[in-house]
Amino acid sequence: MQVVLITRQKNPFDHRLAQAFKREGYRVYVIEGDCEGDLETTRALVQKEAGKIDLYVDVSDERHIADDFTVGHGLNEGVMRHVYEANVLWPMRALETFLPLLDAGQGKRLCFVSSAQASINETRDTDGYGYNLSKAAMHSFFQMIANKLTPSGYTLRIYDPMHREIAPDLAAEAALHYFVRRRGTERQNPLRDDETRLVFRDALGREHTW
Amino acid sequence: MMKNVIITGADRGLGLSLCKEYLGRGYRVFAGKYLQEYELLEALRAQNKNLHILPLDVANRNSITAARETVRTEAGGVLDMLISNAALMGPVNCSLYEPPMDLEAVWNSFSVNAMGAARMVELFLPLLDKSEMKRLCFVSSEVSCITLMKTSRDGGFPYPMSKAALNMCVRLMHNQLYPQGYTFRLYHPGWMKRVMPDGSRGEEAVYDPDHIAGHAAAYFEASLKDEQRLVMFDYLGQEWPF
Repeated sequence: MQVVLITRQKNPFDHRLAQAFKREGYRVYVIEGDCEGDLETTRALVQKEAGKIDLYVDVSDERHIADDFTVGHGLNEGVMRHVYEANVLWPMRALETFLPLLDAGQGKRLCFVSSAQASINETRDTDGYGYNLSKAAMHSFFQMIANKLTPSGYTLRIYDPMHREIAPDLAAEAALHYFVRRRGTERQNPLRDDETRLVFRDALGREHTW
Repeated sequence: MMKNVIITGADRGLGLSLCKEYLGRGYRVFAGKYLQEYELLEALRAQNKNLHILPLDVANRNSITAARETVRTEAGGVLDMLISNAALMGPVNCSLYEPPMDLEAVWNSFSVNAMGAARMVELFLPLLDKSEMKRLCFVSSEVSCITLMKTSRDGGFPYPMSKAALNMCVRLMHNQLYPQGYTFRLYHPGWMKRVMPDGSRGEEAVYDPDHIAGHAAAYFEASLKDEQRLVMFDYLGQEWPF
């Protein structure tokens, strides 16, 4: 049985995604909390019960109601630190914790939630310093871990569920299909396989630039 | 009328060389000093009284505020150009397969390299608003480029992550401030020789900071015909993707 771990379940999209995986016959583990104690507890549980993770889905996507300041109005550094810890430091620690279980799995697929709002090329925001900077940093991290782990058989999915634009159940169905399918039909054939390229797609299937 | 520029991370390397360049171009230069063991700025000051040395830690709002008040007094309340050059690199233990990753290093790098630039702009904005030039310059890096990042840099995640965040930071500022008359420079200076406390150059790396500073200073100062575009340029005048 394929094993999926979903971290930081919080939004309606996250819950719908877990339900969709269960419906498709996956064994699903979920982390609801944010603290590092939950990481170790979950790691030990998955190690004991399944011994592996095939699909890793980090839905960390912290936004803060006070993250609406511009540089002209003054930075709220407390908000920036809070959002950076949630969107960057926690996901890094979580991936580090579960990587040995992913190494033991066959799927070796890493999926992360982001937002096209945090595309340096595309954003029209003047605020959101906490969110946008944290996600830009993570996009860089994704590219580096893709370079590190792809030779070991890992593939990555970066996904924008389009919160507030698309119904959570539709976004979850789109995510399920995007996360479990291969992008290509013939492995190692550069004309028919796109898996070595790290891309960023949204719930409507559109590809975004970094 | 003499123009005023502030340069962060001016103790050595590109920052120090930019100070020399702008002094040569007739600017009043405010040099942010962080590394106490370096006295190269003091030697430069002895040759040119238009150089003002400011203690400056871009990770500390109080330090920036104190520097701003000095600039306000010495420069008649007007700052024409801000060059955000200060950066934290340093060896860190941040490898996926050598736990635990030093996440405090990830935060510190972000706090200096990305937030430091934002803090500087935020706190110096009242002085920049009074200038006609309103030029904001940021020293980034090729490793900020997500599209072209081809190595894992395992063990060294913090610096590229912080520089990608810096680029986003500059994008947000550009979206807000370009319509208000501000112009921006985002610059990749290339791999420069390390400058030692006695002013000598390390053997590693390719370019001499003095050589790069000549190009950078001209680019930062010039008026462009496509100021509305925010792009990252390198020392060869080439454009980089984000």
